[in-house]
Amino acid sequence: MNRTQLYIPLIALFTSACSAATPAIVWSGNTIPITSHVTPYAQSIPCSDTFSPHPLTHTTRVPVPVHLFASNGSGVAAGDVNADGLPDLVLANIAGETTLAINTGAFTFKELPLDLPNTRAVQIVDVDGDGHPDISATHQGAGISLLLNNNTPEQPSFSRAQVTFGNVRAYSMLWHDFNGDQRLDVVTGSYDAEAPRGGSQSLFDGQANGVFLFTQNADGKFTPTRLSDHANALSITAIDIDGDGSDDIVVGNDFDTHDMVWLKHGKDWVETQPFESTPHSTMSYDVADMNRDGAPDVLAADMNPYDTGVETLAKWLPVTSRMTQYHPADDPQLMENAILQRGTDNRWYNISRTVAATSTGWSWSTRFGDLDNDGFLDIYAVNGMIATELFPFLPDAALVEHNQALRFDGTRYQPAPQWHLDATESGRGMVMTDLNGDGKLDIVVNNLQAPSMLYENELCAGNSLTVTLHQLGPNPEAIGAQLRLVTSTATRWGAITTTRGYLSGDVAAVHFGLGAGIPSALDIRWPDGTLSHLVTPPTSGHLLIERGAP
Amino acid sequence: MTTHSMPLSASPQPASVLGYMIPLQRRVAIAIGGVALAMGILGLSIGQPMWRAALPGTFLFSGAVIIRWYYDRSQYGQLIALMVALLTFQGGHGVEHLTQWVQYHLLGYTARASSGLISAANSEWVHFLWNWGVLLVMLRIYWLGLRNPWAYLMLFWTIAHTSEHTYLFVRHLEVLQMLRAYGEPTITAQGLPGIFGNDGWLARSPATAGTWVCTFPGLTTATRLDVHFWWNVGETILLMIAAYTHIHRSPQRTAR
Repeated sequence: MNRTQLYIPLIALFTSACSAATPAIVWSGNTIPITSHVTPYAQSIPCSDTFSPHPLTHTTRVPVPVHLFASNGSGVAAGDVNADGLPDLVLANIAGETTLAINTGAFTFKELPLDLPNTRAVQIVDVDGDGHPDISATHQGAGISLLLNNNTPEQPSFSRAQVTFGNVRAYSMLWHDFNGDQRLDVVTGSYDAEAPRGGSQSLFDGQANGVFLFTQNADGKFTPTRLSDHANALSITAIDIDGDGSDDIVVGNDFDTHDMVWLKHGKDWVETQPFESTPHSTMSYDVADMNRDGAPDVLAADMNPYDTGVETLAKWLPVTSRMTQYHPADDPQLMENAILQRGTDNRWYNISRTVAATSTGWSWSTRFGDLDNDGFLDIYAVNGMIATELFPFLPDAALVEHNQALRFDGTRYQPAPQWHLDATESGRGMVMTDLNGDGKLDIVVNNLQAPSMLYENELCAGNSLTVTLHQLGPNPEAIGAQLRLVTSTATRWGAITTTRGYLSGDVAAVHFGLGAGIPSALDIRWPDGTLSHLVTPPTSGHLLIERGAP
Repeated sequence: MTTHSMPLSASPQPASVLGYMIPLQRRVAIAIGGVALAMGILGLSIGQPMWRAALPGTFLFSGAVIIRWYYDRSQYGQLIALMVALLTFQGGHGVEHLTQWVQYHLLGYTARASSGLISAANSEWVHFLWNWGVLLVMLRIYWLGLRNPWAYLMLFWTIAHTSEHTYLFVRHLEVLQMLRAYGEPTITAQGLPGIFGNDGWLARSPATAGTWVCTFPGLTTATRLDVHFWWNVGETILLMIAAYTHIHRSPQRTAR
């Protein structure tokens, strides 16, 4: 063998490590006019290049000692329920009261109890399309509930909706307009592992489990379609997997239940497996444009220690050594985070190792977000675990970890301890949203057995543009719409959604940190597939786009 | 001691070691293999675990190798005898790793459950002692005159392999100590990540984070099971080539 023969395989091995490029999806459809309104951001306080913590009164409680799966905790949602322009919060709870935290400005909140017991996932979303966001929740061992906004801004109040979703167990949920009829549908997923422990056994007759798509009809009722008869769904997201212009359904499952993907083919849903690899226990999904190519990328979080020191390994080993699930030869599951990008062959390839984002601890809600507005999406993961079955040898049966803030520099993710987001409370739900209107993403974490925390963003950040949409009809926030912002440095993609991370919901807006980029155009793809184009969007501020008549 | 030159047909490869025996020895070898297989099947059929079923065969195999070692030593000298014995034991060790590979990749066992035929021997202690044993024999062979480029490469490979097992062993003891402090006496610290492979030091070091090193196929992406499978495949192949090269270049052979 000569030297050339020796080198060729080595070069091939090296180059095979490079990830495939994402093909750009061309948007086509009828164009409709829009009007835009820009509101300047509120003046922010002098920056300190860190986050400032503000404890909230709310604490998610579970019975002590903490058992599986009460230990999975609850989510948090952000949304403006009283139309004052400031996002409010709903902090779900298991053994205590779910809290509605009305944002009164300057990071102060008026906390009110909500009639939502044993709550897992929560979202603030305008389900009935009356222009006033409602509150939707799932419940431990039970189904989905809906509180309709009574539109009483001075003293927000809600009425329980009369719509029913049948005898269905729902742990996670996703509100989305899947058929472009401008009415919101909802996908729910059960958490079958929980079945023997909590909730009403009468529900566990097998017919209640699995993944359901409830399509909203013109009369406000929902028609169910059962996509799967089983699930351990910790997270659900919508994304155009095959680039055909229709959003598809992705369900992230715990344990060795594989993540599930259904492609929308006309009126049918076809199950497929497009991912090169997925986490083993998918705790959280988030979708955003990480590599700035104008197309979505998927962040899927798993449990994987962020360091491999002796002490950490000793804490994790008793748990990992008991994980004895069957491991098929073609198993795509890896016990680490995945960042998935669509390749030219419509398969999705994992680049989490390339960008050093594989390990964020026993992760729960894990989100993309441009925290320093430099134009690159950072990652924040809340983590930790409490369970007597898993960690009886640790004080309070708690695996104490530092939440992980990873800053992206365009090439790789690096820990950002300088942001002081490394709290050790056992975080579960989390939202990233601009709570004071200064154009920077703040963070709210719903901790388990510890007060919820709000982290005020005081980073000395760059410019940003926050885009919200409005349209007439039953989906006024245009959930399911997609945006493409063309700047002088990159084309950025974003989606209007209220479902992000683990059991959590966010404001129906897209936040673009701009860095050095100067916006030159904004393309909008509305949920029904029609398009709009805005020339020279503003370089900063809150941009409201109103859809005109077709 | 009287030594004889090594005939070309008796190149010390595992498959041909027994084949070089006189017909009586060959018959004995076949008989030993048959008895070992029969005892293994019998053990499994009466519900014995895999490692117990494989144990008689292992003893018979070891005994045959030792007998063969005495024979080779008297016929060809210590260098050849050691090479043959090492190759044979490495071949047997390779069967263990191949079994683990089959269990994990083809039979769908978890990494932890893929512990080969003699699962009781799949512990950090055994791996550590085995690899240091192999390294010491390698050094002895080198000392006795096995010197060619393949032998140097083999020596480097073995030192690297043994270094990783030393790293693993130290970490094993540290983690074990921590587990005992947590009051977890039944949990073993077996299967920890080493230097190479997925979750290994190279893949998780801050110095390599986000670089091409972290995605280099196999080096930082393989499971521990695969990493050690290839460590042993490499070691055995290099030893075979080094031995083959040595025999072809030996003065006795040239003289013939």
